[in-house]
Amino acid sequence: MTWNWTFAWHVLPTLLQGLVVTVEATLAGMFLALLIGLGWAGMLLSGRRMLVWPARAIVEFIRNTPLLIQLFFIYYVLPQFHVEMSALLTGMIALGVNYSAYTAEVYRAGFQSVPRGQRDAAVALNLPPHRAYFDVILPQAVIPMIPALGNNLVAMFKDTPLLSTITVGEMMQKALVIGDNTFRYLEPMTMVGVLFLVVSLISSFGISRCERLTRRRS
Amino acid sequence: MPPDITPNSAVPAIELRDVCKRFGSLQVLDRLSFTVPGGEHLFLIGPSGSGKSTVLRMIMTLTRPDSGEIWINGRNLYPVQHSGSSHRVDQRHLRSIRRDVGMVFQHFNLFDHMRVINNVMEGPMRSLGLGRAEAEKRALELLDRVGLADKSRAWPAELSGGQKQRVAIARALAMQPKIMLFDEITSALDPEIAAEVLKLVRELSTQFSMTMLFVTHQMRFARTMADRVLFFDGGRIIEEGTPETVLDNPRQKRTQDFLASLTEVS
Repeated sequence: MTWNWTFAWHVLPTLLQGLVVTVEATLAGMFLALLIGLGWAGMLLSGRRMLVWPARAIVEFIRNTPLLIQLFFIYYVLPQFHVEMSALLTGMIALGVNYSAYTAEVYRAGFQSVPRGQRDAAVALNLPPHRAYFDVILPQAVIPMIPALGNNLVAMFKDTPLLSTITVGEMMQKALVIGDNTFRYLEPMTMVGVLFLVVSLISSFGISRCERLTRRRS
Repeated sequence: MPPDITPNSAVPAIELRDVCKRFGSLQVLDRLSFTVPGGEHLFLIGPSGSGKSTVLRMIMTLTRPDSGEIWINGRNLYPVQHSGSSHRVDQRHLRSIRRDVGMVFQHFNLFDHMRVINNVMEGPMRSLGLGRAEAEKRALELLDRVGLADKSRAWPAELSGGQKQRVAIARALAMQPKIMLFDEITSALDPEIAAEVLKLVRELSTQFSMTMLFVTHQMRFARTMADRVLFFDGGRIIEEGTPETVLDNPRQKRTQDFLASLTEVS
């Protein structure tokens, strides 16, 4: 079997349609992860046992079970309890919940990296608590978070092919369908790989630029 | 004591009553009581771990006493609440007392993500509610006063240790506190730079009439600045008096040993 350029160009538009779904799933998943992760981090950092323990348990549970199982559980098991969603929405939620555990750790590390002395200085200047948070703590906590969150984003992007297993029409799914119909897998699979590579590299470049911009000040 | 101060003997600037604090098994402060009249320059000296810095942190409300009372300008920091939940701290109450207290730290604690000028403007704007223009004017005056007018647009990371501490002093002064706490402000600096910073503090002390508390190991500085010296050991004051009595003619063996050890080092 040799590489056929005509066939490759022919299937590219279909794969690009899949890429759009892949990116949508990633962005929605990341948004959910940032939001839900903030909840876990808030609980972990609250210092109240009633909140820390459940958050700790949930985060450990999520991190120590495979994403694929979580995905199947939401897609196949929850409907039996009358929780039904489209495949794409299921995928977004599974990605979001799964990555929320890792995001929570990034938040926690970010906030704990702000030296104690910064809080002391905010108290000594008698700043109102919300000012201490938004002017002093948050901006300094966010900077070390950027590269880690960027890594999470790229990792999540690369996890989206798992969604093909629950029939989400993302790039991998499109490639599989093309292969099943034409018995040619070389071109679609190769191009899916290349498209993942290109988008990942562009994202990583963007993230490191972002990181450099924020680091220049300190 | 500077002549422009009329001490109100009825209401001391600071009063500690039977303050106790332990960290784990370590009794840091052991039923500590002392009073600081307004305008006094009080020096807290003694070996490391004797509780001096904890005292300053408590006055700044950064550390809570386990028991005992702390009064600032006649107001109790942690009044006993009648609601029953005695462990809840009334933040609004603390903030209203804290506005009269400023602090300079050993490690400067500048906000590294803000330019020098914004470090000094932050408190007046966000805490005192000054307008931007007024806060900037005040900040520039103070930066000029500490000899760093040309660094107002710099980032803290671009400054030397001595410069950072000058900015931290300007930042604290911008709040116009009645009480200033200096917690080992030269311990992280080279001797030469330390001397310059202390010279600045000495000059400022004559221009701003404030109650000043110092935790320091700089005995020459203490000798020339102090109205009174408290010698701490094991969370208690074991000797107190004028710098002449405590530093030059200490009665306690512990004080004599400590002062002797300092001369050996320097």
